[in-house]
Amino acid sequence: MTSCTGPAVLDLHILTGMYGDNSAVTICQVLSSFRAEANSYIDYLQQALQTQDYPEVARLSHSLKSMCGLVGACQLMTLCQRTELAARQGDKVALDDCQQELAIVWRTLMLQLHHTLQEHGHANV
Amino acid sequence: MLTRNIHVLVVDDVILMCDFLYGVANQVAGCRAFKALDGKTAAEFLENETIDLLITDIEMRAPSGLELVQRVRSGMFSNTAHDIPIIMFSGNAYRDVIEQSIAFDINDFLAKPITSAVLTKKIQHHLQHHKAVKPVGHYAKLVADSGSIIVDPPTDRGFSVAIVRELPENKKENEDQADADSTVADKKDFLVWPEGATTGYFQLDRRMRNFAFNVSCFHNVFVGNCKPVAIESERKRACEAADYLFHIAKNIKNKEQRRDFWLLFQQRLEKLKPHILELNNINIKHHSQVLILLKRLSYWWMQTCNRPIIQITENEGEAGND
Repeated sequence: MTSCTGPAVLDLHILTGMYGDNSAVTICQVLSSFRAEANSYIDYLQQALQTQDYPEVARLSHSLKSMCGLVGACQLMTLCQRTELAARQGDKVALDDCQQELAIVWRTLMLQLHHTLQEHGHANV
Repeated sequence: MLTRNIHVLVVDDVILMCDFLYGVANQVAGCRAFKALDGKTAAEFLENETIDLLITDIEMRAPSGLELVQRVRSGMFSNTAHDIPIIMFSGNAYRDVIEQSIAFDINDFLAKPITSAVLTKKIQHHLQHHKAVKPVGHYAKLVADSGSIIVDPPTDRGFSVAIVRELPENKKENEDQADADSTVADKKDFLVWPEGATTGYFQLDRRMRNFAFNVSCFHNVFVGNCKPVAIESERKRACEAADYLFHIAKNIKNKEQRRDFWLLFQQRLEKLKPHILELNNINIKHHSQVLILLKRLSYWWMQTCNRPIIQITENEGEAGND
């Protein structure tokens, strides 16, 4: 089974391995759907982190982690894993660290997504 | 001739994951997928459609994947059988959740991430390998014992025959049952569903196979002169299997167009009904009467399991597929 082994921002091999399809159409479709859905999860996650709603943080980071695993967004997946664990343990210090990192990792991933979509000829990058 | 008659329900609250599961399940030969983004929608599908395989995430807002499984196994849904294969998956493999899932006899537990190739194989495997699950009452008791809130099962599933009495379960019965099970384990072949046989409907194939299995179990404990409580238990299961067969046939018939097949199959089912009614009411102490009934059932089975009702596929694995 394919899995995230490194800290790659976006590993397309994982995505194509998961879907069993390396066509540009599939890549664009999956990545644009991911971008839209993950974006709203990031917003809710940041809100939950602000309000220290730990169960919600755990739930959201868990879902986001699944999404990242599916498309090969390894860096964000690792961060979500840490966030989920910290939320379940109620570790406020660790969660503060995760919150700071989240904005940076997400911005980097967005740039990479934009670049990859452009490369694969997606119309609405 | 018949395509996509295996109904697979995929449930995940993440749209991307749900679409992925849906796409994979829809690609499996013979499968038609339904998708639900929450437990409530999933429950509606299970209630209104005849679902043959459930693939669900565990961690969702109520009802969770585990609650859905509990409801399925407890026979809460009118159109979905309680013994369908269930595949659960999660990003976290928490021990308590796995233990609870095992208690409800799920067929598989997958850890994310899951590739399309692995999932396809899992779907095919679980559609082709039947796992015996316990009666509805067992799971309903588990749910009641665990204190989960669960609505009462429908009192009327639309069955017209074989009203099955629930026997009180106790330790002695379980011991007797274990005794009976070991007795019949090696000879469940009174009625045989031929290898690679298909009616063209996966759901019907499963019900016919279950019916044959359960009637054979009843036959074996009866001729094996096992304890009455074991015979009663097997009789109950055989009647339940017949109920499911009638129920599923009625459901599919309403949605399908093969008139010639249904005309013939309905005739066969009408002939089966009085036998099942008799099986439900017969006094098992009247040995000769039970043997006559078993002969009739055997004759009915022999007449039914022939062309044009069933066809034998060249490859067993393709039964029920395109």
